[in-house]
Amino acid sequence: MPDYSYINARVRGMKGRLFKPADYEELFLMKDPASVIQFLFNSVYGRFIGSIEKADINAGEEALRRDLSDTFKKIYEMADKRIKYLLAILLGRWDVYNIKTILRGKHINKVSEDIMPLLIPTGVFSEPLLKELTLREDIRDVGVLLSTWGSPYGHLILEGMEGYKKSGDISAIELRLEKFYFDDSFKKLSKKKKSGYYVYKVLTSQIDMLNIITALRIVKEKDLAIYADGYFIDNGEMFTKELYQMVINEKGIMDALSLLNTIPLRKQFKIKKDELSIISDLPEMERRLEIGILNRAIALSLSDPLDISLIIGFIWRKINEVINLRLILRGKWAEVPDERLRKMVVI
Amino acid sequence: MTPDPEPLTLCLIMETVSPTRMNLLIKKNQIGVADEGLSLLRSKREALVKEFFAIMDAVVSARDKLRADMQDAMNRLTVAIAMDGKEKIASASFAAKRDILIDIVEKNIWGTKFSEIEYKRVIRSPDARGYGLVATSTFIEDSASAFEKVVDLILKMVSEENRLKIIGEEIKKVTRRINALNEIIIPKLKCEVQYIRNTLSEREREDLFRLKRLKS
Repeated sequence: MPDYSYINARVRGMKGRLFKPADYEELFLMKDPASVIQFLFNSVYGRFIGSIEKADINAGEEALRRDLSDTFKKIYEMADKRIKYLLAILLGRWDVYNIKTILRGKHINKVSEDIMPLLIPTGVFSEPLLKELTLREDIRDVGVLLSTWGSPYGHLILEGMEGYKKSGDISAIELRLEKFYFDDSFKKLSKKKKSGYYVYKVLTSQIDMLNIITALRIVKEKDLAIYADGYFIDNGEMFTKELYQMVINEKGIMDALSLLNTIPLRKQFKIKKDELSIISDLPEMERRLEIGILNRAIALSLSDPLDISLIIGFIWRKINEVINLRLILRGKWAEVPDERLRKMVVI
Repeated sequence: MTPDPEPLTLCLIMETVSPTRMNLLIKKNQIGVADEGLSLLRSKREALVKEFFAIMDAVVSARDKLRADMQDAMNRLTVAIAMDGKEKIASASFAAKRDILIDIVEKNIWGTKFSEIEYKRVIRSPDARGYGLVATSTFIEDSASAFEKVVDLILKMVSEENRLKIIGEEIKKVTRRINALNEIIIPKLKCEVQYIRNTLSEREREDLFRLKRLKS
């Protein structure tokens, strides 16, 4: 059994530095993005804002990105081997995102300097490794290098090369990477162990969310229906393939949403009974499901604060904080009314 | 209707025209041709003005729509940046990058040539944007779709506005021609006819007087 005492104590310390409701209240009252950046400069994010005189909204957002990456890196580095194993699964989605971004960059012949600022290194694939990947000539070279490192993603990329050459787009390779990440994670997880079960719970929620959004996309764009089977990700918890098929056969978003209004799904995403009826578009639904996963992660961390659940809760709280701060920064920049901003931010 | 040949002052400078019967016939013929041209130009201007106002309404409403669509796309982009971060949007844009091919075709309406842009629909379905559909957020997709609509509208408007501009210039040109015919060429021709007629009848009177004098 891995020892969580050290890492959990450190994570509790980091959790203590997350913004409190009073901080958000102060941020809401600010008149312009410059005041928000000043506030960020005086917080944990300040170390990534070089000079406050030159800092603009882009510098603020860049600091948020770098702090998120740095926080995950820190957690990963302080974990012992067995915890690292689970963290690699949890943070693996950022690896997939990073690899996808490198492939996208290589797809249009971007150089390393263009790609690196878009990556969010989380520790599993460190910054130097990612840099090495961005220096490759083309997509095939990225696949070859990943294979050399023993990463299964390399093999997947090389397998997808033929299709890529024919179609000229990398969406098929991206889908393979996403599906592989989830399949592989489930193979590695042991549900019988408590820690594995907590990670399993978060992953299944993410899969359900992706499948629900894909199904709703298909309802909106009927042309996508022919690929529906290919888009479905296995191993979800409540949103089964049967339900997926039923949803995609619906004529409109409202009908599809009414099918999702089941007790198990509502419980999974902590949605109130009438909440789905006021959702009118896909981004709104996606945000609602993300909040559901956040609440689930927090609930896990509260139910067992002595296991990886605490780290899971912190990771999602941190992601949520970064989204909140970006919303406030952009909101102040775009002069979004205070009331609307308060509705968008999840505290 | 052309105005009456006027001014004596204008007629006074017509002395360069040789007052012969042949010239009288030529000038009368020229007036006929000028009148015919004038009426053709007036019809053309009428048609062009009609076309101009029809396009103008469409262009004005398209401009309003463009302004609203652009605002909507910007709002969606702002939300997408806030939700997913600029890095994820830039990453998706790498995959979605493409060239938009346009053809410039020359068209001819009422003898007026103008170029029109022909292009394939810019708005793509979500699976045609190049990125993996499953893990790309709907905020990014929403914003991409809104901007594709804007580009589509801009391309549509380019042709319309170009047509409007060319028709406007053509109306000006036709109006100048009408004015030239109406106020300078036709009055001048009429004066010349008048001058020739006057000169010929004076000559006739002189001849008659001379003959009478010889007879007496």
